[in-house]
Amino acid sequence: MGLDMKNMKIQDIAPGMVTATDVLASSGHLLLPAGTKLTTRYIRMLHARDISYVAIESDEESPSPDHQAPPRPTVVPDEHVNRLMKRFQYNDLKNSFIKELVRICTSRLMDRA
Amino acid sequence: MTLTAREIVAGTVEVASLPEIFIRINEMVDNPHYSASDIGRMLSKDPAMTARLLKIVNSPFYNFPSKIDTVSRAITVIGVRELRDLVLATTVVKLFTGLPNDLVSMDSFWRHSTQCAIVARLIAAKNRELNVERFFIAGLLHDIGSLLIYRKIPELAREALLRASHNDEVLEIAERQVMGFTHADVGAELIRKWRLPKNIEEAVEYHHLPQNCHTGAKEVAVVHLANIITAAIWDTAPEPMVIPPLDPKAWEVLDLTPDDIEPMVSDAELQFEEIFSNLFTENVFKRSAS
Repeated sequence: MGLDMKNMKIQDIAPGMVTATDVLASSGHLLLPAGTKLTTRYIRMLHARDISYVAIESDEESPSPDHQAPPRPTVVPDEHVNRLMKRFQYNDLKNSFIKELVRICTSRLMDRA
Repeated sequence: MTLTAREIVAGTVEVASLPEIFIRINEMVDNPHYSASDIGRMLSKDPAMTARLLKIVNSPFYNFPSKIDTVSRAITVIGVRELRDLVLATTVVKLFTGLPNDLVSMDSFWRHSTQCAIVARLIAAKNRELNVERFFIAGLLHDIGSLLIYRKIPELAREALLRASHNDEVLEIAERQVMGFTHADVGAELIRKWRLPKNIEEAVEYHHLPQNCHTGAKEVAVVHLANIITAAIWDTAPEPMVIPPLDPKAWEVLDLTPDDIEPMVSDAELQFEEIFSNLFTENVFKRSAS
Protein backbone atom coordinates (compact mmCIF):
# COMPACT_ATOMS: atom_id res chain seq x y z
CA MET A 1 0.00 0.00 0.00
CA GLY A 2 1.72 3.15 -0.95
CA LEU A 3 1.53 6.72 -1.94
CA ASP A 4 1.75 5.83 -5.60
CA MET A 5 -1.26 6.87 -7.52
CA LYS A 6 -2.36 7.54 -11.05
CA ASN A 7 -4.95 9.83 -12.45
CA MET A 8 -7.51 7.86 -14.38
CA LYS A 9 -10.25 8.93 -16.72
CA ILE A 10 -13.70 8.24 -15.33
CA GLN A 11 -14.40 5.97 -18.34
CA ASP A 12 -11.51 3.70 -17.29
CA ILE A 13 -12.51 3.40 -13.64
CA ALA A 14 -13.73 -0.05 -12.56
CA PRO A 15 -15.39 -1.28 -9.37
CA GLY A 16 -12.86 -2.45 -6.77
CA MET A 17 -10.37 0.36 -7.47
CA VAL A 18 -9.47 2.53 -4.47
CA THR A 19 -9.40 6.34 -4.45
CA ALA A 20 -5.94 7.78 -3.62
CA THR A 21 -7.16 11.27 -2.72
CA ASP A 22 -10.43 12.85 -1.63
CA VAL A 23 -12.80 13.30 -4.57
CA LEU A 24 -14.39 16.73 -4.46
CA ALA A 25 -17.36 18.15 -6.34
CA SER A 26 -16.87 21.38 -8.27
CA SER A 27 -18.52 23.11 -5.30
CA GLY A 28 -15.68 21.83 -3.10
CA HIS A 29 -17.99 19.41 -1.30
CA LEU A 30 -16.48 16.04 -0.38
CA LEU A 31 -17.97 13.28 -2.53
CA LEU A 32 -15.72 10.36 -1.56
CA PRO A 33 -12.88 10.32 0.96
CA ALA A 34 -9.45 8.96 0.01
CA GLY A 35 -9.26 5.19 0.42
CA THR A 36 -12.80 4.48 -0.74
CA LYS A 37 -13.26 1.22 -2.64
CA LEU A 38 -15.29 2.15 -5.69
CA THR A 39 -18.56 0.39 -6.48
CA THR A 40 -20.76 0.58 -9.55
CA ARG A 41 -23.03 2.95 -7.68
CA TYR A 42 -20.21 5.30 -6.66
CA ILE A 43 -18.94 5.37 -10.24
CA ARG A 44 -22.41 6.21 -11.52
CA MET A 45 -22.62 9.00 -8.94
CA LEU A 46 -19.24 10.39 -10.12
CA HIS A 47 -20.53 10.35 -13.71
CA ALA A 48 -23.65 12.19 -12.58
CA ARG A 49 -21.50 14.83 -10.88
CA ASP A 50 -19.43 15.36 -14.06
CA ILE A 51 -16.19 14.21 -12.47
CA SER A 52 -13.74 13.46 -15.31
CA TYR A 53 -10.61 12.23 -13.49
CA VAL A 54 -10.08 10.29 -10.28
CA ALA A 55 -6.75 9.57 -8.54
CA ILE A 56 -6.50 5.83 -8.00
CA GLU A 57 -4.07 3.96 -5.73
CA SER A 58 -1.86 2.34 -8.33
CA ASP A 59 -0.09 -0.33 -6.29
CA GLU A 60 -3.37 -1.75 -5.09
CA GLU A 61 -3.58 -5.10 -6.87
CA SER A 62 -5.77 -4.84 -9.90
CA PRO A 63 -9.33 -5.79 -9.06
CA SER A 64 -9.70 -9.51 -8.53
CA PRO A 65 -12.18 -11.35 -10.77
CA ASP A 66 -14.92 -11.37 -8.14
CA HIS A 67 -14.71 -7.61 -7.88
CA GLN A 68 -15.10 -7.10 -11.57
CA ALA A 69 -18.48 -5.80 -12.62
CA PRO A 70 -20.52 -8.54 -14.26
CA PRO A 71 -21.81 -7.76 -17.75
CA ARG A 72 -24.62 -5.28 -17.30
CA PRO A 73 -28.01 -6.77 -18.08
CA THR A 74 -30.40 -4.67 -20.09
CA VAL A 75 -33.52 -5.99 -18.42
CA VAL A 76 -34.34 -6.67 -14.80
CA PRO A 77 -35.56 -10.24 -14.15
CA ASP A 78 -39.36 -10.48 -13.91
CA GLU A 79 -39.36 -11.79 -10.36
CA HIS A 80 -37.56 -8.64 -9.18
CA VAL A 81 -40.01 -6.38 -11.00
CA ASN A 82 -42.95 -8.31 -9.56
CA ARG A 83 -41.53 -8.04 -6.08
CA LEU A 84 -41.00 -4.31 -6.52
CA MET A 85 -44.56 -3.79 -7.76
CA LYS A 86 -45.88 -5.84 -4.87
CA ARG A 87 -44.01 -3.58 -2.46
CA PHE A 88 -45.56 -0.50 -4.07
CA GLN A 89 -49.11 -1.96 -4.10
CA TYR A 90 -50.53 0.65 -1.71
CA ASN A 91 -49.13 3.55 -3.71
CA ASP A 92 -50.44 5.44 -6.72
CA LEU A 93 -47.95 4.69 -9.51
CA LYS A 94 -49.11 7.77 -11.41
CA ASN A 95 -47.99 10.14 -8.65
CA SER A 96 -44.81 11.94 -9.79
CA PHE A 97 -42.94 11.25 -6.52
CA ILE A 98 -43.82 7.53 -6.53
CA LYS A 99 -43.08 7.23 -10.26
CA GLU A 100 -39.57 8.59 -9.70
CA LEU A 101 -39.03 6.34 -6.68
CA VAL A 102 -40.01 3.28 -8.75
CA ARG A 103 -37.61 4.40 -11.49
CA ILE A 104 -34.72 4.75 -9.00
CA CYS A 105 -35.49 1.34 -7.46
CA THR A 106 -35.57 -0.27 -10.91
CA SER A 107 -32.27 1.27 -11.95
CA ARG A 108 -30.70 0.06 -8.71
CA LEU A 109 -32.00 -3.46 -9.41
CA MET A 110 -30.20 -3.26 -12.76
CA ASP A 111 -26.99 -2.26 -10.99
CA ARG A 112 -27.31 -5.12 -8.56
CA ALA A 113 -28.25 -7.80 -11.13
CA MET B 1 -56.55 -7.25 28.19
CA THR B 2 -53.88 -5.32 26.43
CA LEU B 3 -52.05 -2.28 27.69
CA THR B 4 -52.53 1.21 26.29
CA ALA B 5 -49.82 3.24 24.58
CA ARG B 6 -49.53 5.40 27.70
CA GLU B 7 -49.17 2.40 30.01
CA ILE B 8 -46.42 0.97 27.84
CA VAL B 9 -44.42 4.18 28.13
CA ALA B 10 -45.11 4.54 31.85
CA GLY B 11 -44.04 0.95 32.45
CA THR B 12 -40.65 1.20 30.75
CA VAL B 13 -38.68 2.85 33.54
CA GLU B 14 -35.34 2.54 31.73
CA VAL B 15 -36.36 5.25 29.25
CA ALA B 16 -38.98 7.13 31.28
CA SER B 17 -36.86 10.26 31.44
CA LEU B 18 -33.92 11.71 29.55
CA PRO B 19 -30.60 11.82 31.42
CA GLU B 20 -29.91 14.78 33.71
CA ILE B 21 -27.11 16.10 31.49
CA PHE B 22 -29.46 16.58 28.54
CA ILE B 23 -32.09 18.26 30.72
CA ARG B 24 -29.47 20.67 32.10
CA ILE B 25 -28.10 21.48 28.65
CA ASN B 26 -31.60 21.96 27.32
CA GLU B 27 -32.27 24.53 30.06
CA MET B 28 -28.97 26.31 29.43
CA VAL B 29 -29.69 26.61 25.70
CA ASP B 30 -32.97 28.38 26.41
CA ASN B 31 -31.46 30.68 29.04
CA PRO B 32 -29.54 33.67 27.62
CA HIS B 33 -27.48 33.96 30.82
CA TYR B 34 -25.40 30.97 29.83
CA SER B 35 -22.61 31.25 27.28
CA ALA B 36 -21.21 28.71 24.84
CA SER B 37 -18.34 28.01 27.22
CA ASP B 38 -20.77 27.33 30.12
CA ILE B 39 -22.46 24.72 27.96
CA GLY B 40 -19.06 23.33 26.97
CA ARG B 41 -18.14 22.99 30.65
CA MET B 42 -21.40 21.18 31.41
CA LEU B 43 -20.87 18.80 28.48
CA SER B 44 -17.28 18.09 29.48
CA LYS B 45 -18.69 16.16 32.48
CA ASP B 46 -19.45 13.50 29.91
CA PRO B 47 -16.16 13.06 28.01
CA ALA B 48 -17.49 10.22 25.82
CA MET B 49 -20.36 12.40 24.65
CA THR B 50 -18.02 15.36 24.05
CA ALA B 51 -15.71 13.20 21.93
CA ARG B 52 -18.61 11.83 19.92
CA LEU B 53 -20.04 15.29 19.30
CA LEU B 54 -16.72 16.65 18.09
CA LYS B 55 -16.40 13.68 15.73
CA ILE B 56 -19.84 14.43 14.28
CA VAL B 57 -19.15 18.16 13.93
CA ASN B 58 -15.88 17.37 12.12
CA SER B 59 -17.54 14.96 9.67
CA PRO B 60 -17.80 15.78 5.94
CA PHE B 61 -21.49 16.70 6.30
CA TYR B 62 -20.51 19.98 7.96
CA ASN B 63 -17.43 20.34 5.79
CA PHE B 64 -15.70 22.98 7.94
CA PRO B 65 -12.30 24.04 6.60
CA SER B 66 -10.46 23.55 9.90
CA LYS B 67 -10.69 21.05 12.74
CA ILE B 68 -13.06 21.93 15.57
CA ASP B 69 -11.59 20.75 18.84
CA THR B 70 -13.70 22.33 21.56
CA VAL B 71 -17.42 22.32 22.31
CA SER B 72 -17.58 26.11 22.60
CA ARG B 73 -16.07 26.42 19.12
CA ALA B 74 -18.54 23.81 17.84
CA ILE B 75 -21.34 25.98 19.25
CA THR B 76 -20.06 29.09 17.49
CA VAL B 77 -19.98 27.32 14.12
CA ILE B 78 -23.12 25.16 14.18
CA GLY B 79 -25.22 27.13 16.66
CA VAL B 80 -26.41 26.26 20.11
CA ARG B 81 -29.75 24.75 19.06
CA GLU B 82 -28.17 22.45 16.51
CA LEU B 83 -25.70 21.33 19.15
CA ARG B 84 -28.51 20.60 21.59
CA ASP B 85 -30.17 18.42 18.96
CA LEU B 86 -26.94 16.52 18.35
CA VAL B 87 -26.65 15.95 22.10
CA LEU B 88 -30.22 14.69 22.07
CA ALA B 89 -29.55 12.23 19.22
CA THR B 90 -26.53 10.74 20.96
CA THR B 91 -28.36 10.66 24.31
CA VAL B 92 -31.39 8.80 22.96
CA VAL B 93 -29.30 6.29 21.08
CA LYS B 94 -27.30 5.55 24.23
CA LEU B 95 -30.48 5.23 26.31
CA PHE B 96 -32.01 2.68 23.95
CA THR B 97 -29.00 0.49 23.32
CA GLY B 98 -29.54 -0.73 26.87
CA LEU B 99 -32.99 -1.98 25.90
CA PRO B 100 -32.55 -5.05 23.70
CA ASN B 101 -35.41 -7.22 22.43
CA ASP B 102 -35.77 -10.65 20.85
CA LEU B 103 -37.89 -9.70 17.84
CA VAL B 104 -35.92 -7.37 15.62
CA SER B 105 -32.18 -6.81 15.38
CA MET B 106 -31.15 -3.48 16.88
CA ASP B 107 -28.68 -3.11 14.04
CA SER B 108 -31.33 -3.14 11.30
CA PHE B 109 -33.71 -1.03 13.41
CA TRP B 110 -31.14 1.75 13.86
CA ARG B 111 -29.93 1.46 10.27
CA HIS B 112 -33.44 2.21 9.02
CA SER B 113 -33.90 5.00 11.59
CA THR B 114 -30.54 6.60 10.74
CA GLN B 115 -31.22 6.39 6.98
CA CYS B 116 -34.60 8.03 7.53
CA ALA B 117 -32.97 10.73 9.70
CA ILE B 118 -30.35 11.52 7.04
CA VAL B 119 -32.94 11.68 4.24
CA ALA B 120 -35.21 13.88 6.40
CA ARG B 121 -32.31 16.26 6.99
CA LEU B 122 -31.48 16.34 3.25
CA ILE B 123 -35.11 17.04 2.33
CA ALA B 124 -35.26 19.82 4.93
CA ALA B 125 -32.02 21.36 3.66
CA LYS B 126 -33.26 21.21 0.06
CA ASN B 127 -36.52 22.85 1.18
CA ARG B 128 -34.46 25.58 2.92
CA GLU B 129 -35.73 24.85 6.41
CA LEU B 130 -33.99 26.34 9.43
CA ASN B 131 -32.37 24.04 11.99
CA VAL B 132 -32.14 20.89 9.89
CA GLU B 133 -30.93 18.87 12.92
CA ARG B 134 -34.49 18.93 14.26
CA PHE B 135 -35.56 17.00 11.15
CA PHE B 136 -32.71 14.56 11.72
CA ILE B 137 -34.01 13.94 15.27
CA ALA B 138 -37.59 13.51 14.08
CA GLY B 139 -36.43 10.95 11.49
CA LEU B 140 -34.19 9.16 13.99
CA LEU B 141 -37.07 8.79 16.46
CA HIS B 142 -39.96 8.07 14.07
CA ASP B 143 -40.14 4.34 14.93
CA ILE B 144 -38.89 4.59 18.53
CA GLY B 145 -42.26 3.35 19.85
CA SER B 146 -41.56 -0.05 18.26
CA LEU B 147 -38.69 -0.66 20.67
CA LEU B 148 -41.01 -0.22 23.64
CA ILE B 149 -43.66 -2.46 22.08
CA TYR B 150 -41.12 -5.24 21.37
CA ARG B 151 -39.94 -5.01 24.93
CA LYS B 152 -43.26 -4.73 26.78
CA ILE B 153 -45.70 -6.81 24.73
CA PRO B 154 -43.47 -9.08 22.61
CA GLU B 155 -46.21 -11.67 21.85
CA LEU B 156 -48.60 -9.09 20.40
CA ALA B 157 -45.74 -7.37 18.60
CA ARG B 158 -44.75 -10.68 16.99
CA GLU B 159 -48.35 -11.32 15.99
CA ALA B 160 -48.55 -7.89 14.33
CA LEU B 161 -45.25 -8.44 12.47
CA LEU B 162 -46.35 -11.89 11.25
CA ARG B 163 -49.75 -10.61 10.23
CA ALA B 164 -48.23 -7.72 8.28
CA SER B 165 -45.80 -9.95 6.41
CA HIS B 166 -48.35 -12.72 5.81
CA ASN B 167 -51.09 -10.42 4.48
CA ASP B 168 -48.74 -7.86 2.86
CA GLU B 169 -50.22 -5.25 5.17
CA VAL B 170 -48.63 -2.02 6.28
CA LEU B 171 -47.33 -2.69 9.81
CA GLU B 172 -49.33 0.16 11.28
CA ILE B 173 -52.61 -1.38 10.13
CA ALA B 174 -51.68 -4.79 11.51
CA GLU B 175 -50.69 -3.20 14.83
CA ARG B 176 -54.02 -1.40 15.11
CA GLN B 177 -55.87 -4.69 14.52
CA VAL B 178 -53.80 -6.68 16.99
CA MET B 179 -53.06 -4.14 19.74
CA GLY B 180 -55.52 -1.30 19.21
CA PHE B 181 -52.73 1.27 18.85
CA THR B 182 -49.53 1.63 16.84
CA HIS B 183 -45.80 2.19 17.26
CA ALA B 184 -46.45 5.80 16.20
CA ASP B 185 -48.85 6.30 19.16
CA VAL B 186 -46.35 4.84 21.62
CA GLY B 187 -43.49 6.88 20.17
CA ALA B 188 -45.46 10.13 20.39
CA GLU B 189 -46.41 9.32 23.99
CA LEU B 190 -42.73 8.89 24.86
CA ILE B 191 -41.71 12.15 23.15
CA ARG B 192 -44.49 13.94 25.09
CA LYS B 193 -43.21 12.47 28.32
CA TRP B 194 -39.72 13.68 27.47
CA ARG B 195 -41.12 17.17 26.79
CA LEU B 196 -39.39 17.44 23.44
CA PRO B 197 -40.67 20.03 20.92
CA LYS B 198 -44.24 19.54 19.71
CA ASN B 199 -43.14 19.37 16.05
CA ILE B 200 -41.01 16.29 16.76
CA GLU B 201 -43.89 14.66 18.64
CA GLU B 202 -46.21 15.29 15.67
CA ALA B 203 -43.69 13.98 13.15
CA VAL B 204 -43.51 10.72 15.11
CA GLU B 205 -47.26 10.46 15.72
CA TYR B 206 -48.30 11.17 12.12
CA HIS B 207 -45.45 9.71 10.08
CA HIS B 208 -47.87 7.22 8.50
CA LEU B 209 -50.94 9.49 8.45
CA PRO B 210 -49.85 13.10 7.86
CA GLN B 211 -53.40 13.93 6.76
CA ASN B 212 -54.51 13.57 10.41
CA CYS B 213 -52.19 16.36 11.57
CA HIS B 214 -53.73 19.80 11.30
CA THR B 215 -50.92 22.06 12.52
CA GLY B 216 -49.09 21.98 9.18
CA ALA B 217 -45.73 21.20 10.81
CA LYS B 218 -43.16 20.64 8.05
CA GLU B 219 -41.53 17.92 10.14
CA VAL B 220 -44.61 15.73 9.59
CA ALA B 221 -44.47 15.93 5.79
CA VAL B 222 -40.68 15.57 5.68
CA VAL B 223 -40.52 12.48 7.91
CA HIS B 224 -43.46 10.90 6.05
CA LEU B 225 -41.57 11.25 2.75
CA ALA B 226 -38.21 10.28 4.22
CA ASN B 227 -39.71 7.07 5.63
CA ILE B 228 -41.19 6.12 2.26
CA ILE B 229 -37.93 6.83 0.41
CA THR B 230 -35.98 4.84 3.01
CA ALA B 231 -38.38 1.88 2.88
CA ALA B 232 -38.28 1.84 -0.93
CA ILE B 233 -34.55 2.27 -1.49
CA TRP B 234 -32.84 0.37 1.32
CA ASP B 235 -35.04 -2.67 1.37
CA THR B 236 -33.11 -5.09 3.52
CA ALA B 237 -35.92 -7.35 4.75
CA PRO B 238 -35.79 -10.87 3.26
CA GLU B 239 -39.57 -10.90 2.76
CA PRO B 240 -41.22 -8.31 0.55
CA MET B 241 -42.23 -5.59 2.99
CA VAL B 242 -44.80 -3.24 1.55
CA ILE B 243 -43.98 0.44 1.21
CA PRO B 244 -46.33 2.64 3.24
CA PRO B 245 -48.77 4.65 1.11
CA LEU B 246 -47.85 8.22 0.22
CA ASP B 247 -50.08 11.11 1.20
CA PRO B 248 -49.71 13.22 -1.98
CA LYS B 249 -50.30 16.43 0.02
CA ALA B 250 -47.08 15.86 1.98
CA TRP B 251 -45.17 15.93 -1.31
CA GLU B 252 -47.06 18.97 -2.60
CA VAL B 253 -46.38 21.20 0.43
CA LEU B 254 -42.63 20.93 -0.10
CA ASP B 255 -40.76 22.90 -2.72
CA LEU B 256 -39.17 19.84 -4.35
CA THR B 257 -39.28 18.16 -7.76
CA PRO B 258 -38.92 14.45 -8.56
CA ASP B 259 -35.42 15.19 -9.92
CA ASP B 260 -34.30 16.08 -6.39
CA ILE B 261 -34.80 12.53 -5.11
CA GLU B 262 -31.91 10.65 -6.74
CA PRO B 263 -29.16 13.11 -5.70
CA MET B 264 -30.53 12.96 -2.15
CA VAL B 265 -30.35 9.16 -2.21
CA SER B 266 -26.70 9.32 -3.36
CA ASP B 267 -25.84 11.92 -0.73
CA ALA B 268 -27.54 9.85 1.96
CA GLU B 269 -25.47 6.79 0.97
CA LEU B 270 -22.26 8.80 1.11
CA GLN B 271 -23.08 10.15 4.56
CA PHE B 272 -24.50 6.98 6.08
CA GLU B 273 -21.52 4.90 7.24
CA GLU B 274 -19.80 7.75 9.01
CA ILE B 275 -22.92 9.05 10.75
CA PHE B 276 -23.96 5.55 11.74
CA SER B 277 -20.56 4.69 13.22
CA ASN B 278 -20.40 8.03 15.04
CA LEU B 279 -23.80 7.49 16.65
CA PHE B 280 -23.32 3.79 17.36
CA THR B 281 -19.79 3.26 18.52
CA GLU B 282 -18.26 0.02 19.81
CA ASN B 283 -20.22 -3.20 19.72
CA VAL B 284 -23.49 -1.99 21.10
CA PHE B 285 -25.49 -4.42 18.95
CA LYS B 286 -23.64 -7.63 19.79
CA ARG B 287 -25.88 -8.72 22.64
CA SER B 288 -29.13 -7.56 21.10
CA ALA B 289 -29.04 -9.33 17.72
CA SER B 290 -32.04 -11.62 17.46
